Amino acid sequence: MTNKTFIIIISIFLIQFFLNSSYTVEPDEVLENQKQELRARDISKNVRCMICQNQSIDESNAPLAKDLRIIIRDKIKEGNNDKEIYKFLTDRYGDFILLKPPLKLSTLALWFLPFIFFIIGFFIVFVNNKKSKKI
Amino acid sequence: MAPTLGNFALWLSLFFAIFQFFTSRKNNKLKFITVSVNGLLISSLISFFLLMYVHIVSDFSVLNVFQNSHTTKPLLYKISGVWGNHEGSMLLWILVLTIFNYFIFKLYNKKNSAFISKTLETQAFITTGFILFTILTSNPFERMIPAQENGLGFNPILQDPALAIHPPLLYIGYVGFSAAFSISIATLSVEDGEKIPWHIYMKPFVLAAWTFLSIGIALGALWAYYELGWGGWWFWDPVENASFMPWLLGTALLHSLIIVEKRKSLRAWVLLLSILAFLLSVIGTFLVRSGILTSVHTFALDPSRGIYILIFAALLGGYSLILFGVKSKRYFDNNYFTFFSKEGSILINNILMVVICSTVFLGTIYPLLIEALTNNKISVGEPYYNSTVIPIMIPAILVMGIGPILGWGKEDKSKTLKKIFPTILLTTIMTIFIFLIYQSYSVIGIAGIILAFWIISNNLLILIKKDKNCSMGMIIAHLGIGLVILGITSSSVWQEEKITKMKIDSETKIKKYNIVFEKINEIKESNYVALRGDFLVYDDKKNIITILKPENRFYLIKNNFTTEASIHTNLFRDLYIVLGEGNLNDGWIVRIYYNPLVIWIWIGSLIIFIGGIVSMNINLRKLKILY
Repeated sequence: MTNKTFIIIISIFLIQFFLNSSYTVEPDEVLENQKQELRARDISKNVRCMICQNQSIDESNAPLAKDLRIIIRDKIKEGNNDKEIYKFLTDRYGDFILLKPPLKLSTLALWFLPFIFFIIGFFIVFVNNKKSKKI
Repeated sequence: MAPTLGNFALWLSLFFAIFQFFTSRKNNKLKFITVSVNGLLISSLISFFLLMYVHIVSDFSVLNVFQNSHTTKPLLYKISGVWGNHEGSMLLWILVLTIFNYFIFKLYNKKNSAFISKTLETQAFITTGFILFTILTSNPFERMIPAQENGLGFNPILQDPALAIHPPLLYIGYVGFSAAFSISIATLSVEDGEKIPWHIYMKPFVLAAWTFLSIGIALGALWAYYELGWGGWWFWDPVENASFMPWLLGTALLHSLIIVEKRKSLRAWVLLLSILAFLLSVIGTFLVRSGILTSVHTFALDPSRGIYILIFAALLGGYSLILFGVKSKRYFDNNYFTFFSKEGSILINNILMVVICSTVFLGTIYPLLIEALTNNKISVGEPYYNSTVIPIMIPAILVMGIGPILGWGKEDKSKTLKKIFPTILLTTIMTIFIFLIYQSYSVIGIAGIILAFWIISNNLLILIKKDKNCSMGMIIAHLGIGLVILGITSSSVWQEEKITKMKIDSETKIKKYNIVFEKINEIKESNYVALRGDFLVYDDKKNIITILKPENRFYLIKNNFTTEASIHTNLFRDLYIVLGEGNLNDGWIVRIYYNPLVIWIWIGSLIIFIGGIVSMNINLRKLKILY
């Protein structure tokens, strides 16, 4: 087998495996307007690849992730703002699709507890300190 | 034969663990304790090495070998394959437990016999729990009938030297906290605990755990960086969080122990922290092995395992926390803290570490809570952690820079200002210097670089001044942290990425480098076939720098596909190339990353490790003085 045919065979062989491996944005998706492309990347990094484990669509090569990347770019070209795009995504897929959970009643604890932990931590120390004797 | 013997040795270790529990509980005959501790160590060594043996000789009558190995696998990965799967890794976990158990036993003498016996009793309880777990739910010596010709192979992305030693290092970390846990339980339980120098006993174990956990996490990140192929190295994956949480508490614990030693304060707090650090290690194991969290670390999943660990963790947690509640009163000290002092700064950082740990814990379990309570699914990913953890991390690092140069008790503010003036100067110069090179003005970038040099220059100055108030291990480890921050900041803020389609002989440019796609080769190895691209890298003066050779591998046995990134590293930047999909006619998708200063993450981690070892040495000497 010549070198060239071997390469062709392997490339064909490998293609199917690319479909479920971890790859990212492909060159043909990239928008010409750099500002828009950057926006698309920022949004994609916050959108979960629904069929992957803990990956954003920006990092994933799953077909669904690719579709979503293209949809996001189309929406940007149509002039939608970020908020509208996120709304479109959550209407379709639910909050699960956002890697940064939106602030809602059910996520209040998630977003504010760290801050409250912080206050409580210092509060306990201050109160303890007030009670204690100086040495 | 070997699998039967191994299984027998495993049962024998169960016997010795239970025996140790009862003999050390009564603390009457040293002879019995000696027999049980040594018996436990030897039998778990035997079962571990017999499992290694059946992996090396590819004994496919053992289910575990059949499922995870193959005759064509290189020897190194046959060995690391022992702990590359759930069942085998439990055996390693048990082995590390019994080694720590042995070291605890070595501390035994006439004066502290009651205390060490109690520690050994607790340790025996933990060991029994894990051996029972292994035997009942995950016995690696389970046979398969009939024996098979060959195995199913081993996940190829795990066939890697860094990942081969990553689990043992992590386990030393997790399990090291078991020793601190046991010592804490003993301190709370025995009558005259206040009179025992328990913190001196505890410190080397905490240091060992923390040091190995640090380097274990770093190796995992390094592996993710070059193996997963998208230029990142930390993904806030639940499993990464499971190792990061004990690390954070371990950091707090380590520093609080200094205050216990020097000021006799925070004793109850340290006892609580050492309990929590180990509990988090066990809960982390539960999260990983039960499969209730989806993660990139896929272990063989089985709900019965999850339930067992959950019950075990609840038992350990319930007992230890109730014990703490009832018995910790005598360890509460009412000492006043001035915030502007060494102990003040340690205290502040303690709070911050615990707050970060709680935040990570919250983010990890929140999706589970929401799903259980409201039936909705949410994701908590990287953006959440970035916007919660980083703001708490920044003050912690600021304090970390100044803490070591403050004195105990009270510190004069103007004197301190004079002391830190050279640091501020050095930090400013270095920061300006870095920005002249990278010319980027992101806010996080500026903050990160300032913080990194704040730590680095402070510790360099302490080193030059030979400050006697500071321990060598601390300076080295802090220096390492500074370097890690430098690497993290610059590689995440100034990373450049280029995704392009390249045909053979075409070229592309990233920063000042010209990259020419020279040719594509086929590779045939014993366990995979691959396509490899050769990329010539030229700098702006047209000198050739290197040839990068990224690969796409296809592993025939597991039907698995991996990409091997090719990286050229120097002290200033990494050039990172990944070969994507493609063919001869249309060209290949190529992704190129320019990652500034990324190597300092790994150098820094190594320096942290060295600092930990140095500190361990110092603290072991303190321990020896007791004998």
